Amino acid sequence: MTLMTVRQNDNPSWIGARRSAGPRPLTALGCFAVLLTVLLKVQPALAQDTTVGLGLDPGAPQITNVAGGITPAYGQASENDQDWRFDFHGMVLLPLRVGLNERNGPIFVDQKKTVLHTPPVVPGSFETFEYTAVAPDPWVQLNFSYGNPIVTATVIVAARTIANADTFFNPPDHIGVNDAFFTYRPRVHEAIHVNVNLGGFASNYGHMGEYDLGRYGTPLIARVSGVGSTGTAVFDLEHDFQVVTEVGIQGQLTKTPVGIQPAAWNGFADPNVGSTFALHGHAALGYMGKAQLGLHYISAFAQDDRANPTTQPDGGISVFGLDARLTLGRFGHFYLGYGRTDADEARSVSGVVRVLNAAGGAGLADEYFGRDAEGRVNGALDTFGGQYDFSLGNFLNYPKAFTGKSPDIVGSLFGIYTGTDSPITGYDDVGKFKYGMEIGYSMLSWFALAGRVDRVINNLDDDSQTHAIWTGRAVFRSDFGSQDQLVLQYSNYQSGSGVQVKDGSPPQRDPSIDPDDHVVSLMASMWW
Amino acid sequence: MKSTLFIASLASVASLSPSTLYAQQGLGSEFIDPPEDKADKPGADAAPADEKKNAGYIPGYRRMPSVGLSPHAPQNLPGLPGAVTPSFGAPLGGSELRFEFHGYLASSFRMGVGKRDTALAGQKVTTLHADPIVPGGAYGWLEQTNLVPGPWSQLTFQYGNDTVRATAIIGAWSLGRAQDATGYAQTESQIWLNDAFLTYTPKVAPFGLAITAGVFQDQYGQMAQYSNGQYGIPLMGAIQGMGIKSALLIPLEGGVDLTVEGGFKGDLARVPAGIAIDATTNFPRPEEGSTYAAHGHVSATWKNVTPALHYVHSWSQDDVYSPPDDPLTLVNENTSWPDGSLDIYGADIRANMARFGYFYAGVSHVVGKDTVSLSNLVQFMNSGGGRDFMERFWGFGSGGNGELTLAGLEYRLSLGTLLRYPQDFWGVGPDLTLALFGVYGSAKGGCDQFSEQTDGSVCIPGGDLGEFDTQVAKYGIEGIYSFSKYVLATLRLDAVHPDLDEDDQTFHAITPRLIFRSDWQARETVGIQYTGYLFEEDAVPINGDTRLVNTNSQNPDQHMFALFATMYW
Repeated sequence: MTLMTVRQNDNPSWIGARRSAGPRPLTALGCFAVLLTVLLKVQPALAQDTTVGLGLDPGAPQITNVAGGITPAYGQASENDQDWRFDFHGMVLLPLRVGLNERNGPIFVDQKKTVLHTPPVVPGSFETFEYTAVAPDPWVQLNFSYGNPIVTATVIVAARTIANADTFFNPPDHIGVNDAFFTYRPRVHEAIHVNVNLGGFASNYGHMGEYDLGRYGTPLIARVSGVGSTGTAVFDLEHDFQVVTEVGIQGQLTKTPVGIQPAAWNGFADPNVGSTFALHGHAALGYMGKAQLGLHYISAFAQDDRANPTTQPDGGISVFGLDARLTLGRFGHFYLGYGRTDADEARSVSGVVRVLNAAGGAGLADEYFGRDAEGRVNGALDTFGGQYDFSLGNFLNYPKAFTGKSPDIVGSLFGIYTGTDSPITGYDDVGKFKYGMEIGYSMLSWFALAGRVDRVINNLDDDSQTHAIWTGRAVFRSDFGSQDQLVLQYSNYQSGSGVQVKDGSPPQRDPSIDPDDHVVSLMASMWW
Repeated sequence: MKSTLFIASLASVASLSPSTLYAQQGLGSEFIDPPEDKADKPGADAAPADEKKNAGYIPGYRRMPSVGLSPHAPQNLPGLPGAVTPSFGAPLGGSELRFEFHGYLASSFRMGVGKRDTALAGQKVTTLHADPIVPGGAYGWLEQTNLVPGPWSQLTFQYGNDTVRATAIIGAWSLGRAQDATGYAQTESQIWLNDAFLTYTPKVAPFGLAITAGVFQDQYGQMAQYSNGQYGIPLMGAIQGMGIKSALLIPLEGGVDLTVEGGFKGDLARVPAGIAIDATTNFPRPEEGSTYAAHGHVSATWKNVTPALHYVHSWSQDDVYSPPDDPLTLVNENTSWPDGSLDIYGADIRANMARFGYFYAGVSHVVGKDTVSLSNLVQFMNSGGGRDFMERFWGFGSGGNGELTLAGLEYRLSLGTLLRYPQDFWGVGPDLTLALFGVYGSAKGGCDQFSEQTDGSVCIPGGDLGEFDTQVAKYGIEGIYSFSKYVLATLRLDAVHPDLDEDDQTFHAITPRLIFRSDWQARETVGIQYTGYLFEEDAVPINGDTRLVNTNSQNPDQHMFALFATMYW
C-alpha cells in the first residue's frame, strides 16, 4: 500500500491544494504518522501547501484529460508564472421601472384608478424594431480573465435578472456562464496584430456607438453568437493606412431536442430549428485610426434532418453589410451603415445569427417577414442607420486640452430605417423608421441633466403605428467622467392607436393592451 | 488555414509601416489591464494636439481598428443613458478603483432519524432522511428554530474606491454535486447573481452618508450584533427588490448620533400572465402584481445604546394580473382583486454593554390588507408574498387580511470578557459564552370581503376559511465553551410552542455540538451536531413543515445528526 507523501507545493501562490508529482511509498508506521499529523495538527498553512489523499483533488475539474496529452495537468506549476495575471472586469446596469396608467373598466372596492406596472407596459421589446433602449433592461456581467500577453482565458458570468428582485424563477434570465473563450494574440510582426478568439462568445457587427452598440443597443448589421472562432488581423500599412480582416465560424453546442415542449423555463425553445452554423468574413480599410470603411458578409445555414417538418428545404440567412466610421477628434464620432439581409427558407435557422436583435428565422418571421401557410420564412431586409456623437466642451476648448473633468454638453443624433421584401401579404414593402436625439449637460462633478427625444414609426404607411418618447434624466455620479451613475428618469410615451405591446408568457403582441403613458425609472450602473 | 495563408501573403506583399502609430499589443488588449509600471498616469493625456489617449466619454477619439464589438463588452446594451458616462471599455486615465473578493461557504451533511409506524418485509423500522423532517425545520414559519444547518455558498465581488463601489454577489443554496447525487436538478437553487448594487459613501463630514442603489436586501431588526441571531430572522422584516436607500448619520451635542434612513424599492419584473404554474418556474403566482415598498427608520445612539423606530409600507396597484377565478366566490378575481398593502411598524433597542454583553429587544406589528396581490418584495419572518402570509399566519380564508405582532429578544454574554475585566479580552483564550433568546408572535387573520361564499355564509372565526388566530412562543438558551484553540463545545436547549392554545403541538430540542477550528479566532468551523426532539407521541405540528404530510409515517424525525463546515473571507 502506498500513500501520497506530505510535500511542499511547487507553487504555494496557487490557491487550493495541489497534488505533488512523484509519490514516495511509506511504511505502515509512516502512514500512521502522516494520518496523525493530519488529524492532530490541522493548520491553515498545511491545508494550503500540501495534499494528503488517495483521490483526485476536489478542486480539480472533474473532466477527462486535456486532448492530446501534452498539456500540463490542472494544478501543475507553470514555469513562467510571473507572466500570468488575473483580470476582473464587469458591468452592472439595474433599472427600477414603473409604468403609470389608468385602470380600464369598472373600479372595484379598494382599487385605485391609477395602476403601476413593473416592467412598464410600453412598446419596444428587445427583439422588435420598436426597441429604443430608453430604459434598458437589467443586465449584470462579471468578466474573469486569466492569461499572459499571448493567451487569455475569459469567463463571463451574466444575468438578466437578480434573484433578490425576482418575483418568480425564470431560468433563462439567470444565465450563469454566458461566455467562455480564449483569446490568442500571437506576436507575428510589429506591424501585424493578430487576435484569435475561440470558444463561446458573441460578435456584434455594425455597432453604432464608439465603444458600444449605440443609443438603440442594436447592431446594425448582425450579431453572431455561439461556439466557434474568429480570427482578426490588423495590418499597419504605409501612409498611415490600415487593413483589418476578420473571419469566423460559429455554431451551437447542442440542438433543442425534438419533442420538448416550449415553455418559460426553456426560453420557449423551438425544437423545429436545426443545428445552425454561421460563416462570416469582414474587411475594413482604415486611415490614421480616424476613418474606417468596412465590408461584412455573414452566412448562416442549417442542413439538419431533425428540423421539422423534415421535408422543408435547408434554411439560410445571409447578411451583407457596408459601414463607415469616422473618429474625428473634436468633431466627434460618426457612424453610418447599411445592411442587407436575405432569408431563404429560414424557418430552420436558429438564433446563431440575430438581425436587428431578432433571433434567427423565427425572429425575422415574427418581426418582419411573416410565415406562409406552411410556416416557411422568406424575405429580404434593407437597413440603414447612423449615429453622430459630439462634445461641445471639447470642441470649444480646442486647441486647449479638454479632459472631460469640467462642464460639458454632449449630443447624439441617431436613426435606423429598414424596409421589408416579403412574399407574405401585410409584411411586404413595409418601411420602418426610428430616429432620435439626446443631449446631456454635465454641469457639476456629481450631477448632469439629459434629455432624449425618440420617434418610432413601425409602418411608414400607417400613422397609427407611431409612438414618440420624451425623456428627461437627472444623472448623479461620483465625479466627472466616472464609470458609475444613478439616473432618475421620466419618459412620456405618446402612442398611436395602432401601437401594440407584447405581454404574456410567451410574450405576444396584444392589441387590447393600452400602453402606459408615463414611465419613471431609477437606474444604477457602473462598469470597471 | 486559408485565412492564415491570406494573412501571410498579404504581409509579404504589403509595405509595412516601421512604426505602429497606434501602439497596441493586439486587438482586445484594451480590456486587459497593463502592469502597474506601464499603466497610464493621470494627466498624461493633456496634450495640445487633437489626440486623447484616455478620452473617457468624449466622442471622437477611438483608435482601435476593428470590424466589430469586442466579445468582452456587453453585447446587448446601449450607450449609457445621458451620454456623459464613458462606455464599457472606453479608454480612461488613472483610476483608483480596486478589486476585492469576499465570500461565505456553508456546507452540511444532515441525517434525520425517524421510524415507520409499520415496517413491511424488507423494511427497517428506522428511517433515515437526508433532509431532516423535524418540527421547526421549515424556513419561514413562526416555529422555525434554525437548528437544521443548511447549505449556502456566496461569492462577493467588489470593485470601487472610497466613494463608490460596485458589488455583485453570486449565490446558491444547493450544490450541483449534491443534486447530481440526488438525481434531482433543482434549478432554482442555482441562483447565480443574487445581489448587484452600487454603494456611495461621499465625504460629507461631520455627517456620515451612505447611498445604496441596485438589487440588495435590507434587513431591519437583526437580533444579534452582527447577524440575525439564533433564529436567523430580522424582527422588523426584510425588503428585497431593486431600488435605492440612503442613510444619514448626524452627530448631535451630548454624544448622541442620530441616524435617519429611508428607501424605495420595487420588483424587476412581474409574473407574466399565462405562465405555467409548476416546478419548472418554482410555482409562480400570477395573482401577484407589481409591488413596491417605501420604508423609513430613525435611531439615536447614546453611549452604545440605540433605540430605533421602523416603518415599512408595501403596496400593489396593478391591473395586469390573472389570478384563477374561484367559482365559489361571488366575484371574478381575474379582474376585480383589490389593491393590496402591507404595513410594518416596529421599535427596538440594542445595547452594546461591553463586558456585560450585547442585548437586543424589539417589537413589531404587521397589518396586511388584501396581501394576496403582493409579491415577496417585503418579507417578514422570512416569509413573503400574499400566499405565504395566508398559509403561515392568517389562513387562506383571510384573503391576505390580518395582523401579526412579534416580540423578540436576544442577549449574549462572554464570561471570559466579564471575568477578565479590566484586562482586555479579544477572544484569544478560553471563554464561556451564554446566549438567551426568544420570540413571541400573535397572528390574527381577518375576514376577507372577497372570500364571501356563494352560499352566503360569512367568515367564521377559527375556521379554515375564516378568521385565523395563532399565538406562538419559542425560546432557548445556548452555552458555548471554547476550551481549546482548536475545539469548542456548545449546548443549546430550545422550547417551541407553535400554538399556545394547543399544548400537544409543543416540542423541545436539545442540541450538543462539537466544533473544530484552526485557531482561536479562525473564520472557519467544522462541526458535529446532534439534535434530539422531544414531543408528544402523536403530535403533528399543524403549522409546521408541510413536508410532514408527505411522509408515509406521518411522524417527524426524533433525532438529527449533522456534519457542517462554514467559512467566510
